[in-house]
Amino acid sequence: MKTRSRIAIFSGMIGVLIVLVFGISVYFFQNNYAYEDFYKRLETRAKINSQYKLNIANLDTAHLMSLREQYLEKLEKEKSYFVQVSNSNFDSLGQQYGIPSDIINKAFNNGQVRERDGNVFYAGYKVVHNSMTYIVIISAENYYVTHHLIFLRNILIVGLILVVIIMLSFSFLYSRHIYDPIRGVINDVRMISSANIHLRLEQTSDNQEVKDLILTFNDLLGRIETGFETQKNFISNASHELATPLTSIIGEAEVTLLKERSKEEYKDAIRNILKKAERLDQITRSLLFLAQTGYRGNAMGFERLRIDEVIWQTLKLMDTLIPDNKITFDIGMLPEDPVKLKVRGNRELLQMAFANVLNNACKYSSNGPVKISVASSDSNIHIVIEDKGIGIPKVELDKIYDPFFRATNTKFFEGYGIGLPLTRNVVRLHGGTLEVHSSIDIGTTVYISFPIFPMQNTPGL
Amino acid sequence: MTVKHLLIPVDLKVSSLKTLKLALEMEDQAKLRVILLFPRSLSDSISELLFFSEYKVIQQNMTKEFIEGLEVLRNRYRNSISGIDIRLLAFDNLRYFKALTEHNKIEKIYYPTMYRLNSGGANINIIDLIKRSELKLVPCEWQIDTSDEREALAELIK
Repeated sequence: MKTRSRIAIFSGMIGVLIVLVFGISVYFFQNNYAYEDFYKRLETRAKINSQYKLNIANLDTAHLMSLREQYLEKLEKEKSYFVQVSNSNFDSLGQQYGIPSDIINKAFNNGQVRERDGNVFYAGYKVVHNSMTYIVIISAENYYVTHHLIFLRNILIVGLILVVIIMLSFSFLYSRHIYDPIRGVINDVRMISSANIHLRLEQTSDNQEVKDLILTFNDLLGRIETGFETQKNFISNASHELATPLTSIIGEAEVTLLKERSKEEYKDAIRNILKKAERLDQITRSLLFLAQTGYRGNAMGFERLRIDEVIWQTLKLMDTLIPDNKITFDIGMLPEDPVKLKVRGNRELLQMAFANVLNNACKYSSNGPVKISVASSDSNIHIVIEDKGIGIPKVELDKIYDPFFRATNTKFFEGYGIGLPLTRNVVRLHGGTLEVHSSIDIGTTVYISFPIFPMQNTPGL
Repeated sequence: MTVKHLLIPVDLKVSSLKTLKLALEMEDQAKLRVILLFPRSLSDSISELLFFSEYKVIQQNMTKEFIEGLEVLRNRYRNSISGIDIRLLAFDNLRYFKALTEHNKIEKIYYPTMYRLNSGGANINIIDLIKRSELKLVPCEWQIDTSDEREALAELIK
């Protein structure tokens, strides 16, 4: 069953249930009241009758009768019975007065009676006067019960049926009205495929939830489009990067095989081929590593580390890789509490990430000065690496994380375009963020932040 | 060690913390109590004034990078900072400003000369009030050319 129908039926049923409970309660209380009230009216009449017949309080009987007729309406088929009980043969008394004998019996034994025989209601009581016992009974048909209550019941039944119809119709219409924009969104999303991934859903609804849904879908489409774009760039860049050394290898081998060569020439050719093959190997290894760090499944071997220690170790590594580097570690903003320098991370991965950024900074500033600064807030460690290099064109800043992407002003520098995406993957693996701010010919600032690993989360570390 | 009371105008954007950083660097031998003064005019609406809260106004205007930057400076100069409070300057009035500085025992004011504090529409010229006060003034010359708070935070750190 569709959610729409389910909501309609559910809300309809709730409405029906409320009306049903309300109707039954009204009928029940009205019914009770009608009986109680009618018996009281009969009893009042019975008392007046006994006063009148026996003249117990020595009242003016004519005046009493006139008052009764003036203020007490005549009931439907009202009859009064004044039974003098001289023996206990109630059956004969009943036949004599035309009333059921058990009514006389109950009135005599209990002192009063309230009985119903079909539509006729009886109320009466026993009176003892001048050593004689009398039973005064008034009977009448309850017009209210026979007419009004049945009318009320019919109204309630018809009302209930109408409410059921109205509630269900409205529920279906309303649920349809609610689901219309969602159906619209579904239809719009169905229209979008990989061929027209640039399309976005239009904000046509006033409903906030639907607006949020459309916003989320558009956001998702944006990410998918970026993913598509990245994949396209990756394939073209990767094929180019892999094809270049392969073409060199094939070319070198073909040229070598064109004619007989000396032993030295063969050695030279094989050395060149080896060099190109090593480059190919390096690229494929980097690619594999990039893929491995791209998902969180590899977040293993994590320990509690001091970030400044990792940076010092990276700087030693940088001294080996680029002996004449001008990297300075500015400790001016280090926090006074060393606990605020602790992160949960993998030493090798972090070293590799920092080394990649520092290597880029040295490379693109032609070994110019590079400054690395570290600071800590109460929840994050901030690392800023700044160079005065060639910078990155503003329009290319959002593409620098695409594997194999290289900025247009880097053609005179060697590289594969894997370092920065790899570094960002490593930073993300550690729950951190990486941002690059750059101005062409002024320099680049890489801003990395990691969450501090708090003390209470470090059992055994 | 006696405590020195400093006053620094800020706009609750991370860039304005650069003055605080310079002040902390210059006053490295002293124990400091710092008041960061944020100029913001009060509303004309009586109902808004009825529910006015200095804390709320400050919280609403403070960027998360400002909080992050302030924490960075607090952690760096933990031993020399005895306290940093953020206060609201609601009136462009010299007597009021003097009363505020006297009440907080301010001895010295560090203020930026090149950075234009974002007043957020407030009709309060805090730099003018500072210059007209009779306290010791230390002008700080620095510039951060970015409106991006993340970039400004990186600038503050480096």
